Amino acid sequence: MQNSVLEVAGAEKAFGSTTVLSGVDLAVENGEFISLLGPSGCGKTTLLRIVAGLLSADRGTVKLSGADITGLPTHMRGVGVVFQNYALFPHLTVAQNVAFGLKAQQISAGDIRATVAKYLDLVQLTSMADRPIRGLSGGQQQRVAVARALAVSPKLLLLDEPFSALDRKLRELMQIELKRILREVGITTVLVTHDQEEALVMSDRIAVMNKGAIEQFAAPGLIYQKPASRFVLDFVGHSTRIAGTTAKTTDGLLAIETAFGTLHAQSGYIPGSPVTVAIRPERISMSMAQETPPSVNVLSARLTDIIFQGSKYHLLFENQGDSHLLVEAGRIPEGMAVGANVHLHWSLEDTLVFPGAQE
Amino acid sequence: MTATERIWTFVTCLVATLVVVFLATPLVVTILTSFGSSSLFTLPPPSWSVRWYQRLTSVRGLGSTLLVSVEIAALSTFSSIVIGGLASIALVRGRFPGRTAIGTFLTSPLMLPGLVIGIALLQAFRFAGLRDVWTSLLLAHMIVTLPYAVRTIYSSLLLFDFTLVEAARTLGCSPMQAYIRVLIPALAPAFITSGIFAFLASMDNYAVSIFFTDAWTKTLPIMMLNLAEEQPDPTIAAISSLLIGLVLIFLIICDRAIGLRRIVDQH
Ligand SMILES: Nc1ncnc2c1ncn2[C@@H]1O[C@H](COP(=O)(O)OP(=O)(O)O)[C@@H](O)[C@H]1O
Ligand SMILES: [Mg+2]
Repeated sequence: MQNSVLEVAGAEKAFGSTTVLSGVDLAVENGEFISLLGPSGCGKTTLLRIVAGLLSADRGTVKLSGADITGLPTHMRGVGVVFQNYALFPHLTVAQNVAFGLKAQQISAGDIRATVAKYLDLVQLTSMADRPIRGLSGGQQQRVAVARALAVSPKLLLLDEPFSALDRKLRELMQIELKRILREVGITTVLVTHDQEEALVMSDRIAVMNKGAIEQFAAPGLIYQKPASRFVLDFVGHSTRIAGTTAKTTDGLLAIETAFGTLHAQSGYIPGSPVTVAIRPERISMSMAQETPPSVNVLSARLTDIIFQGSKYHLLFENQGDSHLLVEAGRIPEGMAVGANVHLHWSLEDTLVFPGAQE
Repeated sequence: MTATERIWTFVTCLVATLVVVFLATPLVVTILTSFGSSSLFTLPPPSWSVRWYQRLTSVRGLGSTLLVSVEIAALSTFSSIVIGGLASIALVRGRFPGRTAIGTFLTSPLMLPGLVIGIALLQAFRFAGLRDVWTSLLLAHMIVTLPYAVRTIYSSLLLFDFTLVEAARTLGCSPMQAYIRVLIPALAPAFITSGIFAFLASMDNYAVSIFFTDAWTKTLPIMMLNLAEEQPDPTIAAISSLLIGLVLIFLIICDRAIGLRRIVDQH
C-alpha cells in the first residue's frame, strides 16, 4: 500500500526455543487507529518493541512512511511509545517529563516552553506542570506519558496496554479522552490490548493476534460479525455454538445435521465434515408462535433459565438434554417463561461455520 | 503494657545505652585529651588549651601526607564508583554464566583481612615490576574501595526500572545519553553513599597501606602510627579529633542521602 505509515512484513522472533512471533504482516494507514488484540503472552508487546526498535526481529522488515527502518536505532526512528507502566521519570516534574525529548533536540528554550505548554494544555494538565510525578493519579500519569510521547512529534504512536493500571470507571472515561486527544493530533496509532471492549471502542481496525500470528485484521464490526477463525469468534464477544456434520450443498446452501435438526449456511465444505455452527446470541430471534418465520434457520428448544444482566437478558435453551444455547435479548417476549417451548430463528448471514465439532 | 513488656523495654534501653557508651567513650576521651594542656594522656586534664592543634603546623610532612591520603582516597573512590557502576550494570542486566560468582568476587575484599590483601598485592606488584609507591597505593586502595561501590550501586540498580532508559531512547536519546540523563540521577543517592563509605575506608586504611609506603610517601594512618611511636603526646589526639569531625560531617551527608532515599522508596 502506498500511504501506509507503518508496514511490518514477515516479522519473526524467538526467545531461545520459544517462537513468539511467527511471520507477522501488518500495514497501518496514515491517521489510522488500530489495535493489536490478543490474549496475554501472544506476542503483542514483542511486536511493539520490534516496531520501536527496542528489540530486533530474527527475520522480517519494518517500514515507516515507506522507508526501511529495520536496522535503525530507536532514537532515530521517530516512533513514540506509551509504556504499560508509563515509565515517567521520577526525578522530574510533569513539565520536565514532557520537555525531556525536546531537550535531546536542538531546540531553543523558548520553543521548548511553548511546546510543553501546548501539550500540557492538550491533555489538560496545565495546572499540574510543576508537580512531581509521585502523587499523580493513574489517569494523570497516563496523560503525562501521552503528552511526553506526542511532544516530540513522532510519526507513529505505540500504546502498550495504557489502561491496564486504571480501574474500570476511569478506564472508560480515559478511553474516550485519549481518543479525543489522538484524533485532535491526527497521529497514526497502534494500541496493544487484551481487552476486546477497549479494542472495539477505540479502533478503526483491529488485528486479532493468537500465538504470534495475526488471525484477522479488519474493522471492529467485521471482526465481530464475520470472525475469520474459531479463535477470533471465541476471543471477541459471546457466541451460541452447535456441533454438527455437513451434508449436501444445494444451490450454494450447505446443509448441516445437528442435534436440533438440519441448519443451513452459505459455506463450502465436503459432505461428512465435522463443523461447529456459531451465531452471535443477540442475532437470534425468539417466537412462541407455531407458524414458521421467514428466517432460514429455525429450531425449537426448551427455555431452561433467564439471567438478568442489567441492560439485557441472557436466555438459556436446551434440546434433548445436553446442548445449551445462549440467546441475548433486550426484553422477554410476552408469555415466555422457563419451561416453555420456543422457536429460535436467525438469518443465513448470521450463520457462521467453523471446521471441527468441538464446542 | 504488661509487666513483662515493661521489663523487656527497660532491658533493651539499658543494653542500647551501654553499647553507645562503650562505642563513644574512646572518641570522647580522644577529643578531651586533644584539648588538654598536659603532654601526658591524663584525664581530666589539668587545664584546657589548643596547643596540640597549634603544634600540628610544625609536624614535619603532615601536609604532604594528608595530601597523599586525600588524593589516594579521592581517586580510588572515583574510579571505584565508575568501575563498580559499570560492573553493576553488567551484573544486573547481563545474561552470562557466573554472574553471581563475579559479584561475590568483586565484594570479597570486604571479607578478607587487609593484611592478606596487602601481602597478596605486594607480591603481585613485585611480580609485575610495579615499584612506584604512589601508583601501588592507588591500585591497592581501589581494591579496598571497590566493594563499597559495587555493593551499594548493585542493590540500587536491582530496584531501578530499566524501562525508563527505553523511554528516554524513544524520546530521541542515544543509549549513552539515555543512561546519563536517566540512570545517573536515579543512582545519585547510591553514588553519594558508596562514595562516602569508600572515601572513609581509604582514608582510614592501615592494613593494606603499610605494605606500600616508604619514608617519603605515606598515608595519614601510617604517619600517625609513626608519630605515636616517636613522640607519644596528644598531637595524634588532635589529628584524630579532626578526623572524627570529618567523619561526622560525612555521616550527616550520608544520612541525608539515605534518609531521602527511604522517603522516596516508601512511595
Ligand atoms: N526478553 C524475553 N525473554 C524471553 N522470553 C520473552 C521475553 N520477552 C517476552 N518473552 C515471552 O514471549 C511471549 C510473548 O510476550 P509478550 O510479547 O510480552 O506478550 P503480550 O504482550 O502479548 O502479553 C511470552 O511468552 C513471554 O514470556
Ligand atoms: Mg504485553
